[in-house]
Amino acid sequence: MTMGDSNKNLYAKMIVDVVLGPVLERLEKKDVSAAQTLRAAFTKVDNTLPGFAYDYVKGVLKKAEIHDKFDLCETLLRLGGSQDCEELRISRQEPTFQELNKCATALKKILSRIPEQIYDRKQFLETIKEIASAIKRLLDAVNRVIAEVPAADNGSKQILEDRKKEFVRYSKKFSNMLKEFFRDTNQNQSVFISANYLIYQTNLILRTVKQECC
Amino acid sequence: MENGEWFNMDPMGGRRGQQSLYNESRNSTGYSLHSEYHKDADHSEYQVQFAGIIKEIQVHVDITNRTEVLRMIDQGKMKKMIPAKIGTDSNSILSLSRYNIKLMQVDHSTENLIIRVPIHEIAAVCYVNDDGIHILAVKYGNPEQCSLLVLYCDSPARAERICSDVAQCFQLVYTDAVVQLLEDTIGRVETSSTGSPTINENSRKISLEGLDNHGFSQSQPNLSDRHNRDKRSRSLATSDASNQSIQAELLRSYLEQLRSKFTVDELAKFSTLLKQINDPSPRSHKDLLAVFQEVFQLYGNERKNLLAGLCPFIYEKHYANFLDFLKKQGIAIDNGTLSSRHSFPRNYTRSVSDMNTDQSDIDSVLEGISTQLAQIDSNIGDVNTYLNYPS
Repeated sequence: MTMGDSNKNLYAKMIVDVVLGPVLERLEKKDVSAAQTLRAAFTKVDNTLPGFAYDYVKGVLKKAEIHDKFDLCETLLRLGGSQDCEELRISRQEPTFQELNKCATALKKILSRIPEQIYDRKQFLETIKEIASAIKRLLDAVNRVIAEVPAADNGSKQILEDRKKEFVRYSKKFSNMLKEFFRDTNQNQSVFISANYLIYQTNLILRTVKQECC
Repeated sequence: MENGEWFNMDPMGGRRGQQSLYNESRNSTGYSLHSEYHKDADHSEYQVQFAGIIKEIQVHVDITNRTEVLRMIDQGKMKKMIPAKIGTDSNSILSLSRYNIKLMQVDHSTENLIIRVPIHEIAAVCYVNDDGIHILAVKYGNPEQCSLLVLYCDSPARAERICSDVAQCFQLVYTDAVVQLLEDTIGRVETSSTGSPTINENSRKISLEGLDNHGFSQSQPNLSDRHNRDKRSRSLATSDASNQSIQAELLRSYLEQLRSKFTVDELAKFSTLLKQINDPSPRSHKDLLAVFQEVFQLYGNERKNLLAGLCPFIYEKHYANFLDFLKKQGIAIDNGTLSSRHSFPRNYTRSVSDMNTDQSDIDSVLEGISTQLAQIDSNIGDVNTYLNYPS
């Protein structure tokens, strides 16, 4: 898979989370059945044909003649922190799980500010400090959730640990992209992409916790 | 900064045109362009005149205030720290790099080092035009003592360029520090995910929200409350039993690290010196420094990087002195240079004096290690007997 393909798959998954998801949630208020059918269809097709959601939205944007009016990667990053659909919220009310919700939302929100702050060095450095803090809080929250998983349920614990390790891996990539950017400020796109990956990984943690604990 | 990465100083490249003229003159008088100080290509040089150094200025003085700067210089002249007039013997080269600023007196075929100031010790640089005299003032030092390096430039353009380049230097240092902070944070959370003691926020309130940095308003990192901020970052922990066991665990972990690198005799000496450092009975600053020096010699050049790990176990009242001592030896503290990183919290937030485990815990751990090593030693027996062991 080329770098371009993997980015396309990322964009597709982000589009499902931050574009289609919120739209379908609004549709649910009018027609639950239609919304749920569409959601299931998009998820199934995108799993079968990775990148489908990206091609779909690109097609819609072309039809509207605005596909070349903005940068999709940057836009997805901005949306990544502003949209939060029910599908990405953990329903369990215990403080540990609600704290995880809060930490995940906070990190995504800070990451989504990158496009508007990246060109103001002082502000951007403050944002990076906040990101460091938010990453720590998120993973501390994940550790607390893992601690609540019953001892007998080693499978779930392991899945959550693996998800956490993956998140740390993408955090390191993000940090490396920042270093590259500070060496060459033309590398802003790489920062946006790696920030998008981090948002996606955050959503993956939420999905995994929902799957294993709810 | 020793482990930091240097980001491209390309924007400063424009000055090289100005510098090349200077290099030509250096060539014409036979100067070497490759002295031991110029190995690194990422530095810039400027022609200045060295006026003098005014020592023991007030730490809180604001040198972005023109009146303050001129007042200090006038006082410096009265005290003969700054000559009333300067001549060609004051011609100097100011060299700026990621590590330091360096001032060298130019004397025909020789260059003599006047002063070298690490970047992290620079508090501020300012330019004052006093009736056509272009004064560049550099405030540097530590929270206890600051000095003012006074230079003259031949033009406002040069003075302003130097100020701008130093500001850029600060920004690069701070950028590096922030990225390092992110990496360190990720490294710590990664460690906590692999089973090492996880210190959650109930027992150790490390917060990155308390960070504030004044490093880039007018090239002035805030030295004046660095000491207080450092102290503040050290007094956060609570006193519950789980926190004590975590602290003891940290201490053991550090001592285990030493055990892998020190001999039995060295460990015994370490124990004695640490007891001396943590002795709360009053003593002079000179005596304390002597002990620090002994510890430094014990660790030696190859192990001096481990000294920073000793910080959490230093008696609270001696901590600031220890920190200054380390910085003077060029030993990087966790996330720490003075001007750019000093506001970041350290990894650990309590000193031995705060810990209920106290010195007796260090003693028992050290005794245990020494005993084990002595037992190993006696089991091995005379090493020479192994030399004839058949293969």
